[in-house]
Amino acid sequence: MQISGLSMTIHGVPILRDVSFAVAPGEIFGLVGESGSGKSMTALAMMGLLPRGTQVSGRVGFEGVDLLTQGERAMCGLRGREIGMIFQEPMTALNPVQCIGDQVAETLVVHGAATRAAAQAAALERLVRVGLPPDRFAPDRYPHELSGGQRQRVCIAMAVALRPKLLIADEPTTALDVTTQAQILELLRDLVEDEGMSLMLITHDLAVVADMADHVAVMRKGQVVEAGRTETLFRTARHPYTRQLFRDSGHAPQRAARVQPAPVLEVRNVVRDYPLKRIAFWGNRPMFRAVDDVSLTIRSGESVGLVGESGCGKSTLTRAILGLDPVQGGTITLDGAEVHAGHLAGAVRARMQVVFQDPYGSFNPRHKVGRLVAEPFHLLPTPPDDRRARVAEALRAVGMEPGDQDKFIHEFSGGQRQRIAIARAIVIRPGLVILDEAVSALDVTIRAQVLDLLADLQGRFGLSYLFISHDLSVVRAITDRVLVMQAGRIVEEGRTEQVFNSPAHPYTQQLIAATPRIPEEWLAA
Amino acid sequence: MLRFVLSRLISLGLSLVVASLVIFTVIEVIPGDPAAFMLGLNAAPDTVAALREELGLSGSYLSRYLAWAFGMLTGDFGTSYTYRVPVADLVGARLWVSLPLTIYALILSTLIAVPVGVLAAARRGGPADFGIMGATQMGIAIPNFWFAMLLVLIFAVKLRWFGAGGFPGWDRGIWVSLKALTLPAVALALPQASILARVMRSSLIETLGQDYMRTARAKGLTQRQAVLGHALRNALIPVMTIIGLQFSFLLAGAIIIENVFFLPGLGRLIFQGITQRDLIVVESVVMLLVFAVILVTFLVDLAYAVIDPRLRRAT
Repeated sequence: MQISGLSMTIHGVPILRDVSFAVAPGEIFGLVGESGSGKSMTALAMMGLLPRGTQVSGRVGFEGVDLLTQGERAMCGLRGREIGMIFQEPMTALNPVQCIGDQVAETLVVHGAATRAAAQAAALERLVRVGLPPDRFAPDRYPHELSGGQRQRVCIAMAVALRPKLLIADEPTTALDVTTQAQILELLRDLVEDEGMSLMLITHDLAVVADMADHVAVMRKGQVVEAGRTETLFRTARHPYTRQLFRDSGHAPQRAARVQPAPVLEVRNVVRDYPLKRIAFWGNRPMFRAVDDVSLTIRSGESVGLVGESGCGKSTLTRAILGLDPVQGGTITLDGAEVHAGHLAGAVRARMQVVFQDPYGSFNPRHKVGRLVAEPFHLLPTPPDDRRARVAEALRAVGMEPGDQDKFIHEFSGGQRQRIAIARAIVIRPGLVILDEAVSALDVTIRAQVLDLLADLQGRFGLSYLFISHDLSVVRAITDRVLVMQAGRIVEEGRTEQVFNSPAHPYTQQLIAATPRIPEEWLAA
Repeated sequence: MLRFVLSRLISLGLSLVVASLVIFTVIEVIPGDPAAFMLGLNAAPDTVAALREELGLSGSYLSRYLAWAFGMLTGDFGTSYTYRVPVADLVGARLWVSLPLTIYALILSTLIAVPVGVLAAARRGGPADFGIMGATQMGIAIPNFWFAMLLVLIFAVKLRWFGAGGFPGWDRGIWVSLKALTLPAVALALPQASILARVMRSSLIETLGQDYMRTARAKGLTQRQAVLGHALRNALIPVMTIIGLQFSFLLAGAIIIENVFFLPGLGRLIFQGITQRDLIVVESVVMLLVFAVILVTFLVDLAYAVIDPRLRRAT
């Protein structure tokens, strides 16, 4: 695959400018860049699946043919047979009303490669190859019965069913947990080796590329700024943007922790049960124990990390601490006052605030920023008279302009929105801020800035943080202590450096081993 | 799946019991004594009392409810106060007009709406979409009795292809009867098809934007294969909901069309029942309609489960 001088505009807006790179047979090629840099659009151009209103020029050479000049019929014959593709979101990438065996077999059937019966047999073999043996994952299962990692395996089976020469993987593991990510990457690497196909791996995660790719191209604003052999590129990093990316991805903010001995939050033996769906119309509802006997303490001025994979109970615990859900056992104490779901005194509630993951979904789009940030004031018995001034001060503290109060939230970027969310959290000067995956949706550069901001605010206002994340490197950068949660229980707890350097519990060891890392000697220069 | 069907059946039974209680109670508290109404203003009180006894209007609330409910279970709906014939016969005759008319109209509406909606979604933003959206807007806005009169003028008066109204009865032959029902069915179907086509279009457009459609295209399916093979089945779920609602609406809501075409349907029966205080007829017809609605909801639920494996678990 040889891309040369690929340029693209959508309705006149330039998206790609003069993109050139080559993917050699049998190699893993990494395409890195931040969101909006044009990585996915490049991939879609290669597949001929561009949205309407797109103008492309340049050349996408595949085995001597320019794909940009091919008609739709020829491209349909090529997609799935010669070039396979998998996407970021395995939860929604499969048709929910068709069983997985049929969906894999369909690739063979549409290309006329097999009869329906033969396709079913081939699909079965492919499912086994991606690690879904029929005795545990019968091909008549539906996507909703599988986990995210298993669904991504089905997507891979579909994409490689006809043994294509090139597989394009667009952020294939971004939505997955670290251990699942490691397994999927391992599978992709095996497929490249065993079947001699090429893999184009699109990702924002430099560590994944460092771990996987033979060659790398770095994209920014629709252009390739630097390309080369992975190790060489990481060691030399000629382009300032590449250097900045490397710096930001491993960024650890300067923190002067002033931890007081007094606890802000004390969680004692908390149990949280969820009622499951009734099995029978009569009979008791079965219960699921999402949080099982969890205890933790956060002292004033301290940053505590809570790590674990999705479904381990992190978010359930957060909701319980915030008093959103009742607990079935144990106590939660905030500044000496007990937290009870449903009747939580405003004054107690005002002592803790939260910042969520999604900077797009966590604001009411119809309210202006001033009103959004001022919202926590309703917790106070008498709202302050100088609301505007205090909102302005909070906005200034997070690096925004006081004049931003009169704008709507859609006028801001993801990083700016997350700053506004932090402003909303600190405007009533809480003691504790819960950061629930607060930087997970941000690009590395923005993430580094937000982490600096959080460290700065902690120093200035003496805040305590409960930092919840699946991203171990971020937790390592910003916390004093860390708790590791697995299946509703805290399995390990200790000082951050100690836990990361010598993890005691096998689960923690497994998590740390699965986290991809850029070899340190590569970055030394 | 069996467990799902069972749990739906149980909730169907419970709904029927609750509905029958509500209907019975409401009819009970409505002012107006059927016996006094039948006998006129000058009737002697003891004559009225005797008639009440004869009609089964005396006795405790519970005993009358039980008698009514068990009567219905055995097919005995009581005797109409005004027509003096068993309600079951009265309703049965009307049902044989209304039910075929409803099904006829629904089939027409679905046959029009699904392809039209799919076409509009596939050509989104194009002239076909624009034309379809305009036409369906008109179809919703214009009242169906006006359509009905227009149809009579064109096809019955001018072209003389169909009769202008009336119903010959099924014993006169299926084709003759279907022909008599055609114009009313078309008049009923057009507004329903307009609504349904719009639902089909927006549902399909939403489905076309789903990630699995992109996956299907990446596998090498053409746009057409992807729409027919993956999008359509997913997009049908909201369409099924609307079809279910339309069935119940058409079964009793066709009264104006029944009047335009002189059809002896359920709508007219219930209207006459109300004006003549023939409460037992009203009670029975309302109960029948409730039963039809609940049954259709049950069938739609089953159809959901057939379409979508995620809904096959008991709730």
